[in-house]
Amino acid sequence: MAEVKSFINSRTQTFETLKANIGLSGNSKAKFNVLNSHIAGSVVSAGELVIVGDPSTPSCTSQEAYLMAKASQVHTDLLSNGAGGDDFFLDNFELLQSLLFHASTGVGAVTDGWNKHLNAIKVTLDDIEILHREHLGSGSMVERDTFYAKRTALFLKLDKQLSNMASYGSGLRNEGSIKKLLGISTSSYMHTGEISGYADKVSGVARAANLVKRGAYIGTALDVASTGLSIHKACTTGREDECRKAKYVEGSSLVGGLGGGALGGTIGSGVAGIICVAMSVPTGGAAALACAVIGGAVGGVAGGAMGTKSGEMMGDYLYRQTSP
Amino acid sequence: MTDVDPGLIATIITLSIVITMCITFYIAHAYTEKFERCLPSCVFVEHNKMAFSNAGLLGKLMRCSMIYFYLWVPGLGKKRGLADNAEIRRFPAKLKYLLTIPWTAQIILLIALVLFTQLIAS
Repeated sequence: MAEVKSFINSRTQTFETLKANIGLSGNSKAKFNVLNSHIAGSVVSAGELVIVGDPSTPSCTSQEAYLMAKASQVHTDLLSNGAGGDDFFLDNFELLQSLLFHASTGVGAVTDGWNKHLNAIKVTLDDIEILHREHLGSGSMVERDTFYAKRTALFLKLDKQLSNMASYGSGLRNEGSIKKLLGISTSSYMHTGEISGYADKVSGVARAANLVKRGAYIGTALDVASTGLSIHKACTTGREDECRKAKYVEGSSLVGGLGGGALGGTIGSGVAGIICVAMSVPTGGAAALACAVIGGAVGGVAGGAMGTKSGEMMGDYLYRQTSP
Repeated sequence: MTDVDPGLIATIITLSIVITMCITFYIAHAYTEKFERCLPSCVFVEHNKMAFSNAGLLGKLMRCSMIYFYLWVPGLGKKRGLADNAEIRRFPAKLKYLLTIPWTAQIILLIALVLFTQLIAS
């Protein structure tokens, strides 16, 4: 059976390019602009939801309407988080999401420290840019050697910051070398002014910091949205009975997941904090914070997963008890 | 092994977790500063305040968890001079119950959840 499809736009491009690349025909083509009114005629950011309509009918179906509402919500979220300008959000989305899912509460407990860590990376990036600007102003050979030396020192500092345990959460660790991360090459570095790319990356890191700072809330929102989708799917494709069961099971698994995540996160971060104290890690500093973050995340993930399972069983039980 | 419906056990555990966490959140919100005022010369309290004071309610949860563990195992901070044992002994009984009951319940519930999901539900 033909049905509505949707995908996430992988890179920033114009609406027309996007439309041309999909290769639409018939009803899907006719409906495309209407279904994608949230992005029609503008530049489509990475991360936007694109809807390809049901080709079997010229009318709009309820699933399409549902996806339109979701797409519009995604669009608003992207705009309000300022994640529209570059592809950073999507490039790191998987990592951010895996971090935020279930771990939300645990990490949320110490997001301020997380944010400080990201800001430290941002400061180093800013320093490199300032250093380069100063160098452009001078231009002599001696100055260039000084510039190389200072830059190497800053790169080393950045490398250390990025290889820190906590930088897994900054979404930068997997990007490979610093040069690759910053999108520059050594050979062309001095001549082509590629350094301008720094500005984008800096703002990208800042945005991630912004996202992660609100981690607890984003994590919860993702949980709620995915549960909503499961309920909706069961309701539209199944019978009334299944819909009712889905409401019980999915709703309860959400309650269980959030409760378990909070429980695991709280205990996990406390226990990890204490273990770190016992292992003579300095208290009150970044190390203690990292202990709490890691403990909270691990506890949150484990607690969330177990809570979801327990919640599902609760939903199933309540459904069985209340069904005639 | 048992005739009790696993769904019923799951319901009891899940609802208990939700209720316990609600109570925990309230106590962390309303009492964290009161707990900390009773431990004025404990270094770890100052450190925790510094690290988590900007993290809102969740930061308070963290601070309460740390106080709970120090109350539970007073010897922990003694070696490194992080806690004042005399102060921990003087900690008001009413506040101690307010802190220990929900946090101990959390640990029990977590153990119950782990046992249930690993042994019965799997």
